[in-house]
Amino acid sequence: MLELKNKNSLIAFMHNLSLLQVYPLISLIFILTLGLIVLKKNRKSKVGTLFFSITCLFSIWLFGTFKMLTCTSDKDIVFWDRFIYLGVVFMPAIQYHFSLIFTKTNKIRKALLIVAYVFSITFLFLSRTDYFVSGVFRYAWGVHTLAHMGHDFFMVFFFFYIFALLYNFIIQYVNTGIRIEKRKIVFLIASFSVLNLIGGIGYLPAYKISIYSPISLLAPLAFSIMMTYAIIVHRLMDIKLVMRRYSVRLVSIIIILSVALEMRSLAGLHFSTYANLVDFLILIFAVLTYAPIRSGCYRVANKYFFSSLYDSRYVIAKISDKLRSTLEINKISESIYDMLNKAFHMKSFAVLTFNQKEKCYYVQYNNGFNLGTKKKFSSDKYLYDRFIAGNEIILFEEIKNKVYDENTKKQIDILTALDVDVIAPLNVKNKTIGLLVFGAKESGDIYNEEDLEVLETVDAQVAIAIENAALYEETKNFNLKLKKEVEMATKELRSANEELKKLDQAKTDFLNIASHQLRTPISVIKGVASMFAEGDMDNLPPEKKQDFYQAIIVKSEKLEMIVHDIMNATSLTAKKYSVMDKEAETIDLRELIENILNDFNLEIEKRQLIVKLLSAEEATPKIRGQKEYLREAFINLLSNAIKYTPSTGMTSDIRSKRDERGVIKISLGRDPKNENNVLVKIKDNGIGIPADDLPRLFKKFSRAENAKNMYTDGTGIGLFVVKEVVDGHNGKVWVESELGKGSTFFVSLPIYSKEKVDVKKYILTN
Amino acid sequence: MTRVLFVEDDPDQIMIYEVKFRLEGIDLTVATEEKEVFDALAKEKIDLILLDILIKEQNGLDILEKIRKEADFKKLPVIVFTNFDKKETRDRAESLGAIDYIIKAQTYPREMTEKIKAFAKTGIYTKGVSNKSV
Repeated sequence: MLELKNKNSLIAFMHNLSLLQVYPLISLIFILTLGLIVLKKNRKSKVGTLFFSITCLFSIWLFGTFKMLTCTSDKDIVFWDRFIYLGVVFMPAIQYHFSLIFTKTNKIRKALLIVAYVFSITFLFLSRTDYFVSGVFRYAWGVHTLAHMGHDFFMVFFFFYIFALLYNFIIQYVNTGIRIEKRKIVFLIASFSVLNLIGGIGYLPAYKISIYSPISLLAPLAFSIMMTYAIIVHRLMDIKLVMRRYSVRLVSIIIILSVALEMRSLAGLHFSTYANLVDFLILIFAVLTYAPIRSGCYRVANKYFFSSLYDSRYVIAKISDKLRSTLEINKISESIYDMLNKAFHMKSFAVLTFNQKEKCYYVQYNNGFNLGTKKKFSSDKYLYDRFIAGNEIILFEEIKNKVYDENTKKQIDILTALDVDVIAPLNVKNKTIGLLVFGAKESGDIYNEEDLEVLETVDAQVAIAIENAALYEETKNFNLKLKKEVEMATKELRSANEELKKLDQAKTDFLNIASHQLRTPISVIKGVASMFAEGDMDNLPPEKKQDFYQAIIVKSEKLEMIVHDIMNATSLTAKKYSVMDKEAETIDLRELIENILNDFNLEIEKRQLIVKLLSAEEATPKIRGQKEYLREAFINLLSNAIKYTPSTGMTSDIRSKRDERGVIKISLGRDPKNENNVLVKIKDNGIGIPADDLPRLFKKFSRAENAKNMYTDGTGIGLFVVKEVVDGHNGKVWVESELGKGSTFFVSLPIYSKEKVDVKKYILTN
Repeated sequence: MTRVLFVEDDPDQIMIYEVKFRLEGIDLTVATEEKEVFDALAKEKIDLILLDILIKEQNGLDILEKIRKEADFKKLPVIVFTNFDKKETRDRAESLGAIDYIIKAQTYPREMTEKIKAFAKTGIYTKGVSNKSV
């Protein structure tokens, strides 16, 4: 021991003590402090008060031991040993009471508790007598009073209750299925066993057993530290973590103390004059170096021994940074996973987003969960109301074995199968955005208080980040949708525009041709008339003059025809009429055609054509329609036949030298393909129509090439009119033709159904 | 005497100009199709062509294009004389070196003969007609 100059007697006293004697005092102070801390934190709960009581008992024990070890007279020893028992007699009762906090209480246990306190009080009084302890036993490592009968009873009492509380714990262990509970209980059993078995060694010298009893003094310290930590952390578990932390701190303290003591002894050798100053400096040094040495130990421990030690502030800060830097939900999920994985080392992690409309969760990110193809999880009402709505983290171990209704149970079973440990809700302003789902940690540890605190802190930020990402996604999608809509609208506009352009083009074409058609006769009329006016015709022979007069008249007629045609064409396209119109009437086609042929008589004679009109023996079935339009259509067809059939016809048989005639045959009868229709056939042996021109024949302004030779003034509108009229009457018009041989035009029109005429079916013959 | 080649298939027009040109002392050759055009150009000395566009199955400007391919007729004056009015057609006529594009219905035989006579005399041709509708 160090020997110093005479100073304060207390300090001298202190310096004269051995470690053994000092230790109880120091640990007393430590334990009492712990008790006060716990009491402060848990003022209202039983845990706090009971634990504090235990620490008081320990203090009594330790103080008594301290005094006992420092005094020498028997009388003093007995006095102080009895002092110790003031506290020790209450040990069984208070321990038992304390243990009941962690296990269920029932009538029996309550009864036992009351009995315990009764006994404790009894032994309290008994311990003042000689029936309890008296006399002194000195042995190698210390002193103790000798036990008597009262003490024997006390021993029975003591160990009865210790076994009782251990029994309670064991029953609890067996009955609970919750892993976390089991570990809690193991920890408690361990703590209480350590306390009482090691602490109990202190009783042995009372029975004259010489044993290194000071070891028992470690028990209260160990127990206090373990309990304190567990209680403060609230969750009482993760013994490994407790031990790890504890050991890191212990190592740090040992390092500091060793160094300090070493420095002190060195200083004492060389600077003995400045002992106090040196002490002071060393003290400051120790205080200052504790923190860095501790974090150094942490880092070493983290790196080489344990992986679940981490700096929560660092994790939180890092996550904040990462969350601020991205708007993409995938990146967010990745960042969270990275950072939290470093801290927790979980086996699996997932981020789910909540769909408000469908009231279900979609998996946004999954690392490690065996989901297969499952992307959607329904929202369970119970879990939602109980935990998620209140932004409370779900600890799966704690809820999984309780009783639930069928739906919730199903959901919980699914989650259990996936090995889910923790579900942290992500809420922004009372709106649920999604969930963070954690699987078990690799190390098998549970998620302790600090982990959960980190989660809670990070939670809010993550929720906001994910909401922002979702909004961003929505905006992007909206933009895409907008773009598509605009494209579609543009496309529609473009095609409408194309249509308009085509129409416009068609109109322009029509106008071009129409103007040309109109100008042709006009130019002749003007030319001729001007020549007459200028006297150019005066000296012409009369026949020639006649030719010119005729020219004016014919061209004027032509002009009118063209105007008429144009009016027809434009009115047809402008107005679609139907046979249901009021102007519809019942028409006899035979009569109609006969009338037209009458009008064309002159022309027919002029061209020396033969025209035959055939119809079935019976009266031709009547049709319903608009007379003028139908008349127009048939005029066009018949005039075409007349125009394009030369007087000699075209079906000239080379071998025959006979003069052929131009022949037009018109037949009326039932349509063999559709017995509800009447069919009109107009067959000529005229110039025919080239195959190339057939497809466009019925289109506006389409004229067959060879038609232009035969009849230069055709407008190309005639057949267009025919088609429009026939279509409008729900009929069909078509043509069969061979160039150089002739054409046959077919018109099929529906028979008027109210017709009472009994019409026999027959096939038209040629 | 100026000889005009009238490329036209409308008999009434031909009738008018045969009389008129004769009265005014202009020689007239008529061609109603491509073959006749080239025959005429080969046989006679043509000073000016009055060219219609819609001739039977043919397009007057196609004929003109062929005419222009011959070295002799590259500079032969051509007036397009038609009732067909379309911008593309006018442009094509211009690109083929037509000196004018006249709508028959907008003019009179007298006006035509005056223009041709003036051109023959002075070598200067005045474009356009008086009764041009806007």
